Amino acid sequence: MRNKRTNPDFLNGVPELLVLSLLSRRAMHGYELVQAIRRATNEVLEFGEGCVYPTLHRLEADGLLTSSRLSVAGRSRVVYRLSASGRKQLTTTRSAWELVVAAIKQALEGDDDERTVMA
Amino acid sequence: MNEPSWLENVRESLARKALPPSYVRRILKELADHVEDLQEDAMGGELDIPGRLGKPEDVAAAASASYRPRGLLRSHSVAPGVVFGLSPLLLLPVAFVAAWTFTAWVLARVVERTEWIDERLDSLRHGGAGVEFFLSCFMSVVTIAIPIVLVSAFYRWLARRSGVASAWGNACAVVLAVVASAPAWVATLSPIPGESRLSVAVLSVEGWLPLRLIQFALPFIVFCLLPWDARTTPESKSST
Repeated sequence: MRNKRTNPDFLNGVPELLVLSLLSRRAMHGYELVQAIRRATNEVLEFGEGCVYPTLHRLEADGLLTSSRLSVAGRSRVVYRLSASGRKQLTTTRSAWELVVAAIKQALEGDDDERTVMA
Repeated sequence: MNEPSWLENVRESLARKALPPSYVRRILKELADHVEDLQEDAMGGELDIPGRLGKPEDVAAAASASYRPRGLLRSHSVAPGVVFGLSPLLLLPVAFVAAWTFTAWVLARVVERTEWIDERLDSLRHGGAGVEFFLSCFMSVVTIAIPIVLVSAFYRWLARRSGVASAWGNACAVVLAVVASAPAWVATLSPIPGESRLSVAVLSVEGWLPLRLIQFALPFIVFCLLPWDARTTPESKSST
């Protein structure tokens, strides 16, 4: 049985950011969202798809998402959409993420520079 | 592991987490829908459900770590409308009446005679507009402004604690402002003995307009002084 690799701790918060970002584009149900994450990340981020539902439920409980049961392609599905609070949270989290990415990039590039100088 | 046994294993793992049955039903229903979609996409081909969805115990652990109890306001779609849209229409007038009753009771206790107010008004009847203004302001602060501040602070606290959308808080402030601007104390000092009156005008143009504007603004001021502070997403403890 192939087991999904657990993401390292520093990826904490990334699933939430992805969920908020993708749902800011359009409302989706869980399966659609998982497919959207796979496509958006070129399947680089692997995770147990079943774990997306607890994340969705928590974000909903925190008031960042709303859900409603709708008929999609003839089947009843729980569709999630971003709330106003969720949009604000997305802006905040995205800014924080961009800062982290910039800092890591700078650190990595700095490492290259040091090696170049040493050579 | 086939689909029914995987879902059954998730159900058993969730049962060990002591989660509410309604939440367990919800997550199992969504997982069953997800499995159905996977099967449709696989078109009868081989499908590794644990490989795609994760180990049952991991899913249950993620559900347990992520579970947040949902209060009444978050569980029913009409509850925020009733609490933040309708109940202020009732609670604020009740607070006014309570404040007026309490003030009258205190005055009666202090002077031991309820007719004291009328007698004092008569004694002030030559005081003119300045005294009328002072009486209106004093009674407005004690029996109108203080209830407005307290009730607004209560709703602001309730909105923040329940974590409802900020739009409900804003709607509540508007409702409170409209109700808050309805009553006004009117002091009328007549030179004729026994004709001086201290009364409450509701939904009329009587009373000092700036006071009513202040009353209207008070709920917004309270809501602004206690900022919304949208709840942040806690760090995920799940192994997604």
